[in-house]
Amino acid sequence: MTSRRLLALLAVFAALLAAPRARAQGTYSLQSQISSREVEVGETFTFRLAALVDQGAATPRSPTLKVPPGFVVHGPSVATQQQISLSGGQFTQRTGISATWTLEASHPGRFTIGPASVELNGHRVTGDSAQVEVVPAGAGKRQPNPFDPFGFGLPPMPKLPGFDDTPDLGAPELPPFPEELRVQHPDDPLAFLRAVAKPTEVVVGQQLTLKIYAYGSRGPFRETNTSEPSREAFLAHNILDNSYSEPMYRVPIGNDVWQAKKVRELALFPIQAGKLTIGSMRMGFDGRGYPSSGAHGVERLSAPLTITVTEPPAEGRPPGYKLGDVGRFALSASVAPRAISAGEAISIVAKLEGTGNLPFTLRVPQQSGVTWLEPTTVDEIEPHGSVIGGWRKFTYVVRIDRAGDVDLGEITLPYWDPERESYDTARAKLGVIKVKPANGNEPKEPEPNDALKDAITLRKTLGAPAASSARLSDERWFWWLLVLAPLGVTLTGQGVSLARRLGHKVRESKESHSALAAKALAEAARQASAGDVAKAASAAERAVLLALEGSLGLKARGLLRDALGTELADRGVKQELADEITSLLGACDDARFTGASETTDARSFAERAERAVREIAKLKKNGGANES
Amino acid sequence: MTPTCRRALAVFLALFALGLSALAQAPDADSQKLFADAVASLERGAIDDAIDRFESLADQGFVHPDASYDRAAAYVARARSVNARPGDLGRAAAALEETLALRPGDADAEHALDRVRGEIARRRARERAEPVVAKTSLWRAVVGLLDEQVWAVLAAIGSTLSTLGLVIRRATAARRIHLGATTAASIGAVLLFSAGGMTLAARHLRLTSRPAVVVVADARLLDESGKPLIQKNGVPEHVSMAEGTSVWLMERRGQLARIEWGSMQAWVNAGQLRVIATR
Repeated sequence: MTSRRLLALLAVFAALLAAPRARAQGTYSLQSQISSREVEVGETFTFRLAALVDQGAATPRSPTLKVPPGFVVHGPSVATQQQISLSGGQFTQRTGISATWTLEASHPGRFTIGPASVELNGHRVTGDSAQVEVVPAGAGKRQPNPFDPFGFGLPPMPKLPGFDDTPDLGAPELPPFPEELRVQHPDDPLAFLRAVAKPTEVVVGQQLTLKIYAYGSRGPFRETNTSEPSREAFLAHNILDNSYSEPMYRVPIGNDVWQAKKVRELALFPIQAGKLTIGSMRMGFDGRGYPSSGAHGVERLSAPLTITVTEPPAEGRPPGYKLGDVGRFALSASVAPRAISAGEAISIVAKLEGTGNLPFTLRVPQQSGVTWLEPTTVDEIEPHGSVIGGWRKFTYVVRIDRAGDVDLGEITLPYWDPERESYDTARAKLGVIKVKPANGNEPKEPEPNDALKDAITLRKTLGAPAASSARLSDERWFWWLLVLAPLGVTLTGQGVSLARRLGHKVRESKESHSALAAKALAEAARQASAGDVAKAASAAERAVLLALEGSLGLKARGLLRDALGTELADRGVKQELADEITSLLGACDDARFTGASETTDARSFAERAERAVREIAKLKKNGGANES
Repeated sequence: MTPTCRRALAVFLALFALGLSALAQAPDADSQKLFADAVASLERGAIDDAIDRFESLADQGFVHPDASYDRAAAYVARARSVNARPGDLGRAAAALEETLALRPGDADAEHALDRVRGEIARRRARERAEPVVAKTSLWRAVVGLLDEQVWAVLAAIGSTLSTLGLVIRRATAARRIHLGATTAASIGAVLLFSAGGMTLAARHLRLTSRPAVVVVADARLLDESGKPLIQKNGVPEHVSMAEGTSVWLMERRGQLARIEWGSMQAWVNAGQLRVIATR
């Protein structure tokens, strides 16, 4: 039994070698497929095992796949499969399963994927393994396979002898596709959503169109698990609200051919100014080439968009313009009947047509004796291409209480025209209504609420305007003046006092004993030079007396010579200096009165006086004669 | 001092301050025409048209106490008509507040504002809604006793008095004059510091907040994230403000506005307020 099984396995192995892509053994066949032989790090690829058995046999189950370390594996997703073939004039039907794994390599290298196996009649049978070359991210050279446009992993067409791989005719031509689908680079290697809003700078109420496109690199896809983009600050009209009816196009992106289609188109009208955000749209890509994450296929988000919304300019804005009334509009109106009695009503139907955000209110020509009731509206607004437009009818009931020919005026709608970038006003003239006097049976106009009667009387002319907004407190000079005026006076006063004190001190020092003594000495020297003995002696005497008074507080002028000696001794002056002072003063006395001295000439008076003054000054410096 | 005397004094000082301020601006021809058209519309009963034109004047930056007054008249007229819209009386109150801000002491505007507020209160009482509550913080009340310009003039007078007193005090030795000068300098210094401080405070309040009026039937008070305030055990005292309530707008953040109402600060939807144009 074992040897028979071994023989069978050997036979299977031989069959594998002979036909590596398919294996059949009696009642079952296994076929393995890999979507790509060369992938980049991070790029997903699929491995598929199809296990078929003859009709009536047990269905294969529990598919498993051997994967080398470093691969992320999702799946398998298992589907039933049926195959009908004509062999020897007879139809053969086989059933089974197809198991698909999605793999992603985390590092480069050459790897063996598989083999995959299934359980069949309690035994596990294995299929083929496959080699895959994983190259670093961005280093791969993926060539579109023109014979596998949907990414089913079909093998390329076998080469014919004599034909080169790259024909001279260049890349195969793709069917035409809308230019709006063209992109230069994919945002994602597998699938992505692209949101485009035009224009991105609008005024409040101006239409912008949001289009969202889906791109898939693994063949056709269906939209699943969608969440719509958030757009709280916009009024929205759907132009394309699902992608099911939209055709899918093959679009070249880089070196690959992608499947692409428009999945949404909305007309948006901003209702406020500012930087407004359109949120992301989420969509699942469901298709055979797209690995599933959960039950919803590959999910992708579009990038959020920011729209700059401003208000139309205030300059030139007509009275009654309401923010958001943007577009291009025309008004027409019909009035019936044209002749009534006072107190009766007429019907006015105003039709507003155009493109843009059709307003819900019009400006009606009010006047005394004419009462406009709130209108009823019907409309037909729909997209025309990518532009929203249509008409809205306003039906008014207008009661006229005034007899005579009543000119109703005109209904108007001021609006901003974004194409012309200017304001315009749509108008509809209403004409004249002939109103006969009332017969007295009409209901009276309701009396206004009189609690506010005469509360406020209209001012027909402009009086004195508001005073200028210029304020003292906004002027810098005001604050400086406020503080600096009193502070300046205070500081000036202090300065003047200080200056006075300084002047006094200077004057005082100029008039001090020592200064006067020095002055007298200079006088003595000058008189000595002139040879005037008497004057020189007088000046020398004055210098010494001033020095004594300044240093010792001794007023020596009134003292007798003997008394001076005693006084000086009492004040601690050295005997030698006291004798010299006494002697000098005596000599000066003599010279003053006689005009000559026996022992001293004029110059010596000055010199002796100078020495004496210097010695006396030392007594002062030393803190008093007693200490010297 | 009776309230009348106090008010008369305030008006006198305000007018005095206004007289000292720079030249007033004259309206241009376009604004005059738009004003005349608006008045004509109101006279012939085209109330909505008149309101549109008065609002257009305001949008164009034309600020005039009489234009604001007539705008109030237009809103009052619509509030009395069958085409009355919610918020008409609040807008009328806002326009009258604006008149008074631009021309303090306008007796007609004061009288009309009292009537409009009275009517709002009457209608709210009929609906058993909270009455209009006028609140102001103590600080604002003190600073607002006089116009900022009057405070500034008083500070200038204080500075001058103080300066003259100091000069005379220094210049004279006569005892009585010296004493008088010292007294004058002291009074001047007190006036300078108190009025100067008030001027600074008034300027700060003017630059950091703007007067506004509630123009919807009930402005719900919100927190910073836009959620309505919930009253628990009487706190906060109010969770909404009545139409015509005067508040101070402190800050705008997106669709929300931070307001000061008495000692309370809260957020409201900015569209529920009408900001008052000031000089």
